[in-house]
Amino acid sequence: MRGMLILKHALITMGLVTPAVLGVEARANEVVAFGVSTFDQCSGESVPELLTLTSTLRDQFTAWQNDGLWDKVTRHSNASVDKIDWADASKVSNAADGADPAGADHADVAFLATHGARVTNENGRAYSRFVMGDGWAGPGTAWEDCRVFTDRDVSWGNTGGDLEIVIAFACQSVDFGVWTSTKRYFPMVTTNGAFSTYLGFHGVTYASAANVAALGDFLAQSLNDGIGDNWLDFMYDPRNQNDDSQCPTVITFGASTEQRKSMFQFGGFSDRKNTGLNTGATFHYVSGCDPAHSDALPS
Amino acid sequence: MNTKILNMVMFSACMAIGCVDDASEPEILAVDVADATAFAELDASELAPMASGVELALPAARGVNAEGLEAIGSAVLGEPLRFTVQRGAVAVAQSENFRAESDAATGSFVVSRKESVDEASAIHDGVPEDEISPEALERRAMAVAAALGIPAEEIGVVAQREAMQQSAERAGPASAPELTAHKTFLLRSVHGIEVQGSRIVVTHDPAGRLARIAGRWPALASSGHRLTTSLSPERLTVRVASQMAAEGLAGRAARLRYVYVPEQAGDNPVRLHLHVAAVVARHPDPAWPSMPRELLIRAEP
Repeated sequence: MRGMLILKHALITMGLVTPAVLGVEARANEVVAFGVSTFDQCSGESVPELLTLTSTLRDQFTAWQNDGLWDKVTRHSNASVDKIDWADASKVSNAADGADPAGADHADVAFLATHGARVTNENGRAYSRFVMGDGWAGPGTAWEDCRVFTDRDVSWGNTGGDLEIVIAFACQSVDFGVWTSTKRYFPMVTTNGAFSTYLGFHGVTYASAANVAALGDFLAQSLNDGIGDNWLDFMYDPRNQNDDSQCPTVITFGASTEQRKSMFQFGGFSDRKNTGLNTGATFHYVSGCDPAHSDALPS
Repeated sequence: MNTKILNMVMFSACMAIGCVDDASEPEILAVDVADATAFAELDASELAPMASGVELALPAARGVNAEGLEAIGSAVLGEPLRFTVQRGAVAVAQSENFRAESDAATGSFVVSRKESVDEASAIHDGVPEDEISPEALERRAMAVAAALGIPAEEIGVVAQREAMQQSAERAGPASAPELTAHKTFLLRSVHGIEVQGSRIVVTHDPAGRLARIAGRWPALASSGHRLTTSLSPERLTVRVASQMAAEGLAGRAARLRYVYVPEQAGDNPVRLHLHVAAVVARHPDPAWPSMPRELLIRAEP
């Protein structure tokens, strides 16, 4: 179904047919970027580069929009980045991740640049968490309001949501320690949801001008093709190759290894492959990559 | 409070940390150079002194763009590659088995095997086993770079890696790690100093067949680079400490190294400017949300 929608949209974009001919309303390609550089309402160290990353993303998608290759670009910064924008109402009362344009799940592609961490508890719970820019005065404790948890809060691309691709530019956002836990990253997607591709890092990432430029290269090459390979190629940084490397990682969700690999190798922001039901997942990584604050990836 | 803004001359800075320096220009510093804690955790062991007054030579260097990629079609891919479509800033090429995109805005490019090409079929036959060893893959990646017109002396770090994947069903065990590709990362350097962001990544599939070439490798101008500095490592360290204090990172551990930052005006070839890259460790309290930062400090006097 998703693939059919994309095909129809491509035909409309190329001017080969009109929406009326296809009997559908043209589906817009939408991206939403969230960046937090100052954490005035939540705990965290200020990092200017985190907003620069979202500017880079906004500029690339806006350029595509101007060329007729993309439809809608939205950016939210600092105090406008709230837990309700990322949490799903099925898990958190009053959450509104599908709100347009404030919520992450209203768009096809979402980007988040902020502080992140991986937590594995003795009781077997494991998750990545992200720091928000706003402490929302709603249910739960203030501490939780400033943080989004991949297991208890989010449900990307579920019923009513559009989200298919998330880039989490944050430390330990796609961490092997969570992947090897009992539930892995499955709690953040539903079996019949649209979500397919999650890009981030195992271990820490660096706030740097080099990463801003590398993100620009990755984005520029990932509209139509190679989104997973591009993430590894442009974001991997061996540095001294000992407890300080930057380790880009990707999880693809879908029904079969082949479908997930197809999205990793040949999918893009506007060519989002139909990976089928999210009954399985594949973790993609650079062998032996050894970052700070996480173990080396297996060889 | 271990930092404060001081308006001071560099000479007194060097006096405070025991260095000898020939500079005399006043400089605004956001660090008290008498405060040893501002320098205690700075590792400047990779900052070798540069020969004062000597401007390193750098011949103009060709970059990798659509024209260069067309040139490798026959030599590397075994089939001609022609850029016939322009989509915004991106030039798009198709050959029988490969597609390529070259983005003029960022200078990035990717050549990749088409989705329609069955991985198991023979574009080229799989290569002999001894051509898939790490050494052979590195040699073959260097040959791709040479075909693109990149001289071997511009290639610094070479990292030959395996891309892997591991799959799992919901509630099921994970499969054993599976090799998906061999990736050789060629990072650019000039006179042994890294050129920020310039790299080529050559990907071979598990059977050893060329699958992708990705990267960014801009052309270098014939003049106008700032490749050296007359500033001593000690003076540069003071400058780093000052920048760290201004960013609220005083006293944090940091490792310093030289890096060339490409700077480009319009469509002109880039000029390299020497910087000190200071990789500043995250906050020492693990409970405080933080991340390592890399500050760039100009090394020019």
